[in-house]
Amino acid sequence: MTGRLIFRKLLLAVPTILIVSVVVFLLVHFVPGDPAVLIVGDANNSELLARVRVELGLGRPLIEQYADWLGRIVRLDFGRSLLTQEEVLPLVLSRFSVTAWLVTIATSLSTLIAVPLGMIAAWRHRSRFDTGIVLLSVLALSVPSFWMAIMLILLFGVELGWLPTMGYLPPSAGLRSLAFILLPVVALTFVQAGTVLRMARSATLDVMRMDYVTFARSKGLSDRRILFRHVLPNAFSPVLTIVGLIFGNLLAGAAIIETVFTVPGLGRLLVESITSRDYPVIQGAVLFISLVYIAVNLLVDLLYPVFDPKLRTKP
Amino acid sequence: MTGIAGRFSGLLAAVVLLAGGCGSDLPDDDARELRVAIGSDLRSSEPGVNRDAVSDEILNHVVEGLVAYREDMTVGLALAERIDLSADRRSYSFHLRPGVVFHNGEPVTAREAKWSLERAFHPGSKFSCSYWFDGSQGHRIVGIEAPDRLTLRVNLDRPDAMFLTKLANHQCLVGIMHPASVARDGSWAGPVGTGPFRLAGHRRGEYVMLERFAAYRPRPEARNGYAGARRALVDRIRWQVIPDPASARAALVAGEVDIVGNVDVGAVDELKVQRGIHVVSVPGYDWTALLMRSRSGLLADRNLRLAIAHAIDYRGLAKAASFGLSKANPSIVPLDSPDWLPGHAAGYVFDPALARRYLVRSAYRGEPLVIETSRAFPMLFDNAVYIQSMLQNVGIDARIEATEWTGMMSRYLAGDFSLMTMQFSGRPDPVLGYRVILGDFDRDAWVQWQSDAAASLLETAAGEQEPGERRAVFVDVHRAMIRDVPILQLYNIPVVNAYRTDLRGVQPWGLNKLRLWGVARQ
Repeated sequence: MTGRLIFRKLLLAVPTILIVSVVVFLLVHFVPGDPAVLIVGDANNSELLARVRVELGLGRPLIEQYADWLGRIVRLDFGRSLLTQEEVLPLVLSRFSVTAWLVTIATSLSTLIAVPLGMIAAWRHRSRFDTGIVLLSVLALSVPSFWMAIMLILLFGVELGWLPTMGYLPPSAGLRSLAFILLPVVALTFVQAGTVLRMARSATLDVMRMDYVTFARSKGLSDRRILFRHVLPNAFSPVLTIVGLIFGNLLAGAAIIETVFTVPGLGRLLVESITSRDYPVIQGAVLFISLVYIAVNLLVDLLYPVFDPKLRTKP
Repeated sequence: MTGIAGRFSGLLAAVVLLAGGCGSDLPDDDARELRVAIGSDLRSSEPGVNRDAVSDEILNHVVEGLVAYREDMTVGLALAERIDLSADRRSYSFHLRPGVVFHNGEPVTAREAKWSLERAFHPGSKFSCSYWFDGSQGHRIVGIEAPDRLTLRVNLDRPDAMFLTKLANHQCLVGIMHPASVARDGSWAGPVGTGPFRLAGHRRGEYVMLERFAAYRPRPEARNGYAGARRALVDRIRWQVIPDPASARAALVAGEVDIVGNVDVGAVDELKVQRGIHVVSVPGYDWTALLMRSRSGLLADRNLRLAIAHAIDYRGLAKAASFGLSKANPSIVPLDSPDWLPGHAAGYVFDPALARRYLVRSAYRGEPLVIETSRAFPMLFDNAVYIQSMLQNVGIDARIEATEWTGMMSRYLAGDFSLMTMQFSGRPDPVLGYRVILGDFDRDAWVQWQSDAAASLLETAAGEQEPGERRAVFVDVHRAMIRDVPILQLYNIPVVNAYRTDLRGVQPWGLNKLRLWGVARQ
């Protein structure tokens, strides 16, 4: 069953990736401006501009450029950055590892905090606690991530001086690296938690209206047993979907947070490569992101049966 | 709940304690390290190739040329001890300073200097400004010789007063480097230069690290622009990439970086009230302009261009957009340049009534005129907003279209716009400044102004050695530009540096490039 699911998803991934590659390729090439413009800058030299375009291979027909690129991708050769000459695949992987580290912590934290709070709020529906949680989730959803990030920098970095305002250390640096990712993680967690909180609360409320919960209550089961045994497994599936979507989105690029906190992640790389029209990096990064997205969705699909007993039953 | 809260506070306290020891990723002896915020990464470590402003700024600490600009933009000496010019003014003999060594310990001789120049100027070179030396604009280098160990001779096809100015250029840095800078397969390995710092590390997207070059021998004279003594007073310079300007300012206030160059004028007041921060501003050489596509279309009508020219309140615009740090300048010659004479003050009077009269005389019939701009540089967008309002005031249906920088540059180079707010890097010599806009419409799409008379005057100035004579010619070129109305010069962009008060020796100058030799922590 699981093997078939994985095989089917991977099979579906092939046309998805192909479509993504064509769309991205066309979009980036149709946007005005190319890397030669940036390389030549305001040197105002038409001959040099033309020569750089030829050297970068930008003068060839688009279909030829695409076929060439796709042919290399099949051999796992993502090419080199037009501006820095770095190999794209190692560049994307190194930046992805930074984003993955940051986003995994933030998603785990936001799930661990928001799911119990949302469930308790639903369990105490229309209590002061519930109202407080609803207000908190609205606040978290309303606050733009960049504003939150700047406020955290100003408070903990500038005013209190407790934490660094910028920079990054890899996890291999040990506990010191925590100091650098704490603020970005808090900013990401806060913004994500709002969505997860609302979903956990509303899913729990839906499940609590089910007959079997009323039946369980009438049997005299304890609140804790009803909540963990009967409500949580059934309410968690939609929450998992949302968490998976957020996780995938953030892996694709927590660009704003990475820019504000100067974290060298995948989102920042993508933004920088778009502004500099670094085609191989844009194409490589987007292709990689779509692969990650497919992988995350597959993981979520595989996790459903773990939480939802109904899905474990074979037809 | 209290237990969880307690444990969480404990964890936070632990992290904060850890953070105390690492306000940034710095070693403990960070007193000997300067931390500089840069908005983008080093693009390439090869001087003058695939360059941008940040790359130029960093590499000018690593690599030196034969000559360099002084504060007043005249040409001073760098690796050359003296220069002899032949009687026919076509042969330059550079006598190199003895005892200077490269970062790999090898002595600097004419052989390496010849190799460096030949590599930059050979046909097909990737050097951005090779066209300055191949006859495309002025002279052509016809020979590079090394007659003795410390003499390099460069022969030109004709006399050209611009040769040294071009050779000293800070953007297209003609650096003297050791052949070890290039790998055996001919690819670029890294700069083995002679500067006061050497490239010690680069983590892309994070920082560039420079280390003091212990064997550096500074020139005897005082620091003067890029010329004169370059004494490294700190052990390391860490160029920290911080793309967001607000984050860079926060890092400065928090003490995590020491210097932010190129501060946005809108943030000056905010920084000035911060304790421990100095904000210094000087007039800059970079300039802003309103481009008008005069080669064809509506704006080929001189009356319409004059209407636009007289509709703009230049003084008010400069004051508002630069937060009072700059003054209007109708000339391409920077206000602070020794080449700026009172004749350059001649411009267009702000006179809406006159503007309306020109508008009536023009072929303009209420068509929308789009001002292309970009938010990449706050001043560009601000200029567009002010100008839009002023043009609407006289009856021109001006609209704004903001695109990102690469797209706008592409349109600029293709001449694909009607009006555009643009900024240009400062050119130390007016000849180079005028060549940014002057040319042949049929040959280059980026050309803003086609004038045989002005081109001829500029050729005269390029060949003229006497400063007084040259300056007189520049005034004539300026008058011709004002008469033709091809472009509207607005103001020079002020250079603003902000730095921690425990630093000494930070001196902003017109070229808006940090020079971190001579800078130390108190």
